[in-house]
Amino acid sequence: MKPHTLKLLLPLGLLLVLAFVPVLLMVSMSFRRSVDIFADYWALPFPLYLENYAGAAQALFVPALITMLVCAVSIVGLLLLSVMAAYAFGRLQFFGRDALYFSVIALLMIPGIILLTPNYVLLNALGLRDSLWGLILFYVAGGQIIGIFFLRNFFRELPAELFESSRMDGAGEWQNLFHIALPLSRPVLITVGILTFLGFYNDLIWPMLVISDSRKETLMLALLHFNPPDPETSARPDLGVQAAGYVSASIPILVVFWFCMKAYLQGITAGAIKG
Amino acid sequence: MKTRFRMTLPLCLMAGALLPVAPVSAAPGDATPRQFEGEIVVAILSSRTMMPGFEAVAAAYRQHQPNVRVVFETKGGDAGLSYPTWLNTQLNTPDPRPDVVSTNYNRNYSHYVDLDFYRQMINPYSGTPWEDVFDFDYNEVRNARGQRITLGTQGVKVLWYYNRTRFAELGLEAPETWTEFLEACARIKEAGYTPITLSFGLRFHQWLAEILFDQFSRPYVKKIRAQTGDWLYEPGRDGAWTYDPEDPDNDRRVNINTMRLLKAVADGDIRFDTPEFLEVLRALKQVQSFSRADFFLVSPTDFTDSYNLFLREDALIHLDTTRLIPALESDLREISDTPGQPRFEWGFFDTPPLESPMVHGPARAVESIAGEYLGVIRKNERQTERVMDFLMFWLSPEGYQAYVDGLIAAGQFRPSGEILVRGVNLPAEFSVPFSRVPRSGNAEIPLNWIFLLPPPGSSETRASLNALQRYLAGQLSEEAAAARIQAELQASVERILRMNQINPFFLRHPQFKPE
Repeated sequence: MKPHTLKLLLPLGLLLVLAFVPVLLMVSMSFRRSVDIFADYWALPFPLYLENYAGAAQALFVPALITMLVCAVSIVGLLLLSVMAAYAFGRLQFFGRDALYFSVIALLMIPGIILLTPNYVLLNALGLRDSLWGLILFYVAGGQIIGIFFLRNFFRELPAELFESSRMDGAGEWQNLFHIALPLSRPVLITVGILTFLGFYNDLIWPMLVISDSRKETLMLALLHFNPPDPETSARPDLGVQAAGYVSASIPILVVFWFCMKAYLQGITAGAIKG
Repeated sequence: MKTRFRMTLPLCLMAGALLPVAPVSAAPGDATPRQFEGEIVVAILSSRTMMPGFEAVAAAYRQHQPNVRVVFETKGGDAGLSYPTWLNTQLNTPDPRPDVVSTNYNRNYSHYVDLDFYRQMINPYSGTPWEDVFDFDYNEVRNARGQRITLGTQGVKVLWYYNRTRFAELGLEAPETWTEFLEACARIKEAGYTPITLSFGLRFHQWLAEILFDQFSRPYVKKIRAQTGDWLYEPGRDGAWTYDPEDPDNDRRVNINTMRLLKAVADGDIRFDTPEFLEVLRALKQVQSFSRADFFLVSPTDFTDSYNLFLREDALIHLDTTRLIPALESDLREISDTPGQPRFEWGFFDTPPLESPMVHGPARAVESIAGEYLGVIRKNERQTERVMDFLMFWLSPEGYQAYVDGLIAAGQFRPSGEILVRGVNLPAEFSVPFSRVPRSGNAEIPLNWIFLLPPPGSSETRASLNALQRYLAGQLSEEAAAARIQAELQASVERILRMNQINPFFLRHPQFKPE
């Protein structure tokens, strides 16, 4: 290896290690008793203390299921709406198309925190407080903007001949959409799905506003309250079980990325080049 | 570590200590609870572990008010972001859902109930004036209008914990003067230990700064006390008051006019660039020099980390509150190599007094509120009556006893200090440790807030703290840092008025009640 390559790799390697330190610490803590963590924060987790995971699973299983349900329904809904809207913006001609498109995209510029209060007022008016639909409908409505942005750019770049020949064969726009555009846009759909999944999965503030009933808590809400008592002391939470909860909560994201990474990168690249 | 615990933190409403008791329409002698019906939503900063207590107090209340449904919603174990955001969103809507919230996390809302209005009313669940069974006076914190909008259920005191075993080995005892404190730190440092576990967080720039400045700021109370003709002047109380800096409760015995405090700061009558304040800066720098340099600047929320340093005997002195007392002993036993024996013996001491000739009074401590932070959103008269009835129940001996018993039965009772509801019976393991801590007067009064006076997160707060940091880093002289802090605090008054929607007229005419 050339010296200048080594000079470059060393700091990069150091940065990589530093980036992983918090994760490794979390994993290490998840296999240790809370009191041992307090006694020696940096010690290695041997022997492994697996009971932390039993405690975490018991508390977080139902919230994890609810979260996956909310994410799944929301993503399906927003992809469906995004695809139709993006197809119209990308492939159809109608009066005011671009103005409408840019007015939709302009919503991306509004910081989410500013929308909290008006959204909450709307939620109240719709009677959706303490309902999972209050999460799903607002996720679909808010999440489809990024979907429209990605998909519209992708659809615009598809060869016009594909659609024209299809029309000459008698296909309508719905058939063009579902039989031509949609199959070709799988990587972009996965990219949008993953991006929005991350947002919905990790969302804390909106579920906190919407959900009051602890039986309907999402995973992040449950983690926020995940403060299991340390059986050995009385005055602080069980750090080991908490860390096990955090590790468990990270697993679904890792799984999704593991299976979808290739398509995700394709989608990002497609958006980057064609957009 | 309990995030509920925030001491006065944003608690802090802007100014005003020792305001008076508002006139009250008491109904003396009538101790029979009125019957109410409807729903009350309690959504204070809390964790799920407190639910057994909530359920117990709700069940006990149902015995008296069978037609009232009390709903507890635990919001946030994380006071840093999620609870304030949730609360702010609720308060920005025309129809906020909760009735009881932790009002200290948004002090500028204009529709809170002034709890002083109720303190002399007969509590129907004790048959006595409410203030007889609840210690309203433990901590005197109000919003800019002088209203008491938050009640804390427990009182905590800031203490210096020390490793008595290592102190004895080094021939040291708990210091009683600032000089002895610095000498002990130097001796500890020589022996290879970190003397103090502090970092640049609220323990340093809030608690310690308040305690140090308090020793110089006593005379300022004469400038901000209620004067004859002030809307809150009480001849019996304020007319009889005399200034006595040796009395640790001297400023509790007089009504404080918040507008006079703001006016004094704005006019430069209360100053933070005086020779006395320079002494405070120097003392802070001395303390910093005995903290671990790498640790000092790392984390502003350093309770767990610094506690770890103390437990592991890396550092021998730790600044914390009484909340640590029940935990420390059991933690030291758990991590000990000798079963049943603590890893080391420990003790605590109050902040040693400064010995400057400019000191006006003995050192006091930060004595603040903790536990549950409770305040009420004013919706309509009927709902306010209903909610206040519940709050009076909760903060009565019967209600808080039910709450505590519920937590104890679930193994979740973790008091931070003495219970401010009088007449609550606690097992000895919870009451005895705190009874060993004597009160020494409260330095956490608006006069001493310094970095708390401007609204949290405001440019004035950031600039003041930045000046302190640069002074500690040797980038600013003490005079320059003090001048910057003075300028920022003076400028912050306008922002305080604006955020609280108080007309500047009331600053020019502090005798009138700000509306």
